[in-house]
Amino acid sequence: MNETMFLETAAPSPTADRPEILTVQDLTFAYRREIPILKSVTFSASEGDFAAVIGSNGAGKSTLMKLILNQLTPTSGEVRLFGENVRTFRNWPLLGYVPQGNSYLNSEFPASVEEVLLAHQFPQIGLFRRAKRQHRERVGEVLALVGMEDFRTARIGTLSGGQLQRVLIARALVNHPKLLILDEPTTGIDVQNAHALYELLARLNRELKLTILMVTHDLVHAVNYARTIFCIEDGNLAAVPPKELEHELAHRHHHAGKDECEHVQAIETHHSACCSCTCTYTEE
Amino acid sequence: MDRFLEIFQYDFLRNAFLIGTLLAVIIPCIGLTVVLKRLSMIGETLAHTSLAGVTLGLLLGFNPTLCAAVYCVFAAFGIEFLRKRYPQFADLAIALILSLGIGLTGVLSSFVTHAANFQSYLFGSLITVTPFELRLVLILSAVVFLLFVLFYRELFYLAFDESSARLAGVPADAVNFLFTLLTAVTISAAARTVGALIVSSLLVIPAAAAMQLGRNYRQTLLFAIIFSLITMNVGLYVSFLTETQPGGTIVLLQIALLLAIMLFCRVWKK
Repeated sequence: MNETMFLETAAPSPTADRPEILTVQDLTFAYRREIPILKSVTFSASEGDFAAVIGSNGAGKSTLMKLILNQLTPTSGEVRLFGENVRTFRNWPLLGYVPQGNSYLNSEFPASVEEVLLAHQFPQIGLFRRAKRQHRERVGEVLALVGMEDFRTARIGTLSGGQLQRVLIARALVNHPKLLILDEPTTGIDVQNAHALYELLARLNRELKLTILMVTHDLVHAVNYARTIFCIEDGNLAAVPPKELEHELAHRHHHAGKDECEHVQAIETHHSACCSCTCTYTEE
Repeated sequence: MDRFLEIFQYDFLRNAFLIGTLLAVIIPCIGLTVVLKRLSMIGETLAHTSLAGVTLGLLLGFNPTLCAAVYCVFAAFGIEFLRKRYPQFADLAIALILSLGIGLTGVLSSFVTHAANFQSYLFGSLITVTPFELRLVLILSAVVFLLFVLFYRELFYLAFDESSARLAGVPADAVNFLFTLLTAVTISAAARTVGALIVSSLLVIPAAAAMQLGRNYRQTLLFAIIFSLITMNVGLYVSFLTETQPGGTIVLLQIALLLAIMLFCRVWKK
């Protein structure tokens, strides 16, 4: 980790001229009314953004994710995808979703990478139709994009955590989405592979002009790669200027080895709205 | 050799092999999906509750196989309904429907006068199949197979990862509904011929064996069908030669083959 990496993250261009892809407006959610999990959350991501929502476990990250994917109904407020309320949004192929791979898929399932990528092309292929050559070629294209072309016929269960995550990213890309959403992309992946994965995301963001939103507790990588960072804590979300986090991380780097709590304290004094992001700060 | 050929001189035996072969193709199609969706016990439940339909049919004078099919469909949707009532206890719904089916069968069967007739549904009887039932099984098998092929990719994807399938636009509720229907129909068609106590084994064992060998979904499905075809036909043949129950013979043969495959995989992968 060095200073130049911070410089590499390009300054965000003004958002005014870019269409908003994801808008979250005054979003409140509670399973029981008295205990809200999200409190009037507002943020947005415009075309070409690379945004990260960071926060500790139980801060409301996965609830936010489910609301964006229309798997939960908000108590109040709304989520808009491509300008349309998510409750009535139908054009889901525009959104590629990468779930937390290892915990959620059945590794014993007899399915090859190609079969999964073909099945996900449902919007292209349609009901009652066989997959054609162009669909098979598309599988090759997206696998090449994520550097997994040699694993086309591999059984899903034989892939390592990092490989599976790449395949899940390829799957999310297969329908030419405009927005890529990732849920804890590096859970269960070692530092080196995590690094490579973020490099891949940065490249997709740059080359395909893909808007990326990821939810993570990995503050270090989020700061290095994302251009916009939102911090969520106790259901409150606040934008954090990357500069402040950079400063904080440089500070951390300087005092590497000191007690984590001290840094958390430091972040809190840096930005009161944010946050006890118990970021997994890993020495490299 | 004479004895070998003798079997094929009888119409009813030819019919038995025809029905056996049809069922041997559709049962693993449904069975593999059932296993991969972790619904193995649903097969068992529907098969046992189909007996309630059979007893109702015998009592009311309707065709028992048809009654079993109708009852199975209701039971399958009963499970879906109850599952939504107890979302955290999915197996409870299965146990409740199974209890209802067995309770009904128990009470109703005491009014059935032809005990032998009833028993043929427990363990199945391929040789007493009527021409009407032969046609019924033929049509049901064709319908199940056709729908399975048409929805092949969707069924695969829903079993693999339902939430992503929904995001990709697969009409999950409709396809799940259809699959429940197909499962119920397959089980009731098979229950008459191979026996209600045995159907669920035929659903599960070929899938279990194929999963040891298959490197992808298509291959696993093909292995399951081949495995099922071989054991069904050999099992039927052996059962006629030795005059044992066909259903039981087939299941024992399948278990033996499954063990052989497991052993083979262990040795081969080393």
